[in-house]
Amino acid sequence: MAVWTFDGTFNGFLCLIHESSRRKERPEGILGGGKNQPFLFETVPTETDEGLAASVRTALAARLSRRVLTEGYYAFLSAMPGREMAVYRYFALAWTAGPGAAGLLADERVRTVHEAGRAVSRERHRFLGLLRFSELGGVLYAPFEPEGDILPLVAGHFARRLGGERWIIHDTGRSKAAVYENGTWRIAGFSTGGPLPLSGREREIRDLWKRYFSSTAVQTRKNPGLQRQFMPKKYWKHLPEKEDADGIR
Amino acid sequence: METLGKLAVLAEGAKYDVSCSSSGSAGRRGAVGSTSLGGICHSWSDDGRCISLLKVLFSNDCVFDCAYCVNRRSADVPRATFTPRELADLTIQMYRRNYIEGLFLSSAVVGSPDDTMIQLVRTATILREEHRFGGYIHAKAIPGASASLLGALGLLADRMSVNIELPSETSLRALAPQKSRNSILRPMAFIGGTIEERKKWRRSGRSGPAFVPAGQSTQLMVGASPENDFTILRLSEGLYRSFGLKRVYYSAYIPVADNPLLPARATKPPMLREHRLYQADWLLRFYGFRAEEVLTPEQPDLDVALDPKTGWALGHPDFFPVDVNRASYEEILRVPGIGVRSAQRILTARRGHLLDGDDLGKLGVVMKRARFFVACKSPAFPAFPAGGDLRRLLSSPPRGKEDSRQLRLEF
Repeated sequence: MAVWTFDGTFNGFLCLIHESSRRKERPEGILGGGKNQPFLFETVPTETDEGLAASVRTALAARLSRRVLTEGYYAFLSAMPGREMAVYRYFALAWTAGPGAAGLLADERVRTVHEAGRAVSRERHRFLGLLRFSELGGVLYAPFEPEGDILPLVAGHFARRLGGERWIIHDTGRSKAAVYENGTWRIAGFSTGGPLPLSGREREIRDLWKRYFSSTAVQTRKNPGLQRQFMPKKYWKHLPEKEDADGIR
Repeated sequence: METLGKLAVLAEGAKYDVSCSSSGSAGRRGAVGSTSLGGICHSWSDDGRCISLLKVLFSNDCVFDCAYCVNRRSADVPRATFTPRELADLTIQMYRRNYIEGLFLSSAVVGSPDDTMIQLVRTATILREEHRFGGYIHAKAIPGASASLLGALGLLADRMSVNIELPSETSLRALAPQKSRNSILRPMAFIGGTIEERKKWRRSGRSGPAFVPAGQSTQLMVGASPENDFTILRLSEGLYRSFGLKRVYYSAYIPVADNPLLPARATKPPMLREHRLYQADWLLRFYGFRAEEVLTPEQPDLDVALDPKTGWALGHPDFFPVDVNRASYEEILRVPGIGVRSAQRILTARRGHLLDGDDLGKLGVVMKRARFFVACKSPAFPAFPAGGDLRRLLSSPPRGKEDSRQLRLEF
């Protein structure tokens, strides 16, 4: 069995697809990034070339449609085990079946990718609302721990929205961040070495928000189950309005 | 009073307004802020409602004395009033931290309707012009305000609303003596008319700022006054049709006053009735139903045990089964258990092959309900069984608590 390896980036993955088509060979397994190299199997390492990746992207968009490509990209960013191989199979199917492949939801290969992609898209949308910034010395800083690798999917939204600011969105689980400055954002390795202290002014604004949060609830309609359905506890850690709620349960 | 104290009082005064939507406005963008077409929820309060906008009153110091309202003049509650700058700055600080999607700007009537409107216009002007705020603003039109002020606010807001609150003139006269049907419908008609005019104007290629680009909405209280569901639903249908409203919100009345004309304080808000009205409203807006199909003068109230679409289906056995492989979109939409999204998926998926029961499940159809109403390749589902049993099968399970906390309801 041959396991193909790449650097873990989407561009690296696109180059792997190119390599597989050049060799007319299909990988039986795909491993990205710093994962342990399986020494029981034959490995096929592949190289990442940004220029090549761009042309593969154009070619795939033209033949598979933007929709299929985007769906594959979203699934690629998911936390689903075996996601690389799943996206590979989906693209391979769409290469022969054409853009219509996106609609073949009865096909396992399509549905797997479709569902993983939807989960990522849902998580992205959730965080567009649930991300919380704190002002720290002139920079807006937002830590979060998404399941999917969604930094590149949320950064554009905040670049449009907070265009006049400097901000950092920190994926603490993956130790990287989207950093926005002078009108552009980039993704880089990042860590803070622990929680950051808040200024008195920042505390005041948080208190205003917390007061608003509790005042706006209609007590006769209390419904903690419904609240958790939309805003599961795993998100509470970084929400100022829930920072005192942890002990209560 | 400090901002913190005002915020508590003025959020308290605004929270019975259920609208918090930030949708319908695309492409607005300022130095701070942008809008998102589908809207974004930022948090969910302890009652499970989405928090999208900072929903506060500019002031709760009301000269009106509407019997059903927490802020009525005769109520013994602390009073507070923001300054326009204070409220604008608060909005910006919360917005930059991504706590909110924008501002829901409402107010009690301070002085006169026009005096109040001037303060709202000032607040919105500071936001849009000084801060160059591009986020969402939902502004209330104060009943009885003059057209020029409505016009000014409409150029600054994404959405506007005038609350009808009471579904008939009689109830209005009894419970809100300073308001009249006219003082509510006139601003609504003005906003609706100006939106239309602006759209035509922009379609003809002329430019100019958008007027209330996300449309207008309103709110009706349920259970404060004796109107039946048929009256309410017909009113909603009329509002959608004649003023082009985007949404009618329904709010189960929560007793806040001792008044012989209103339900007693201990009365539980009719949550399930509110939920059924929302479902019926959905049928009007997205499923091609008319109010007269859902209810009739002979049967003027919704059955709280059944969702209204299932209710309709049980009354029309001749319409079923619907063959999902052949029927039109409109017909498929009438099947209980099939929503807008699954109906669209069925149309796409059936181009590939004939659909069977398994496929339907995978496409998101709720088979528990739909199986009695559809025909497909296989299996053969039970033919439409006779009345009583099916009705029992499809009724919502009995609820342990009267306030129906388990209700999974999004509003």
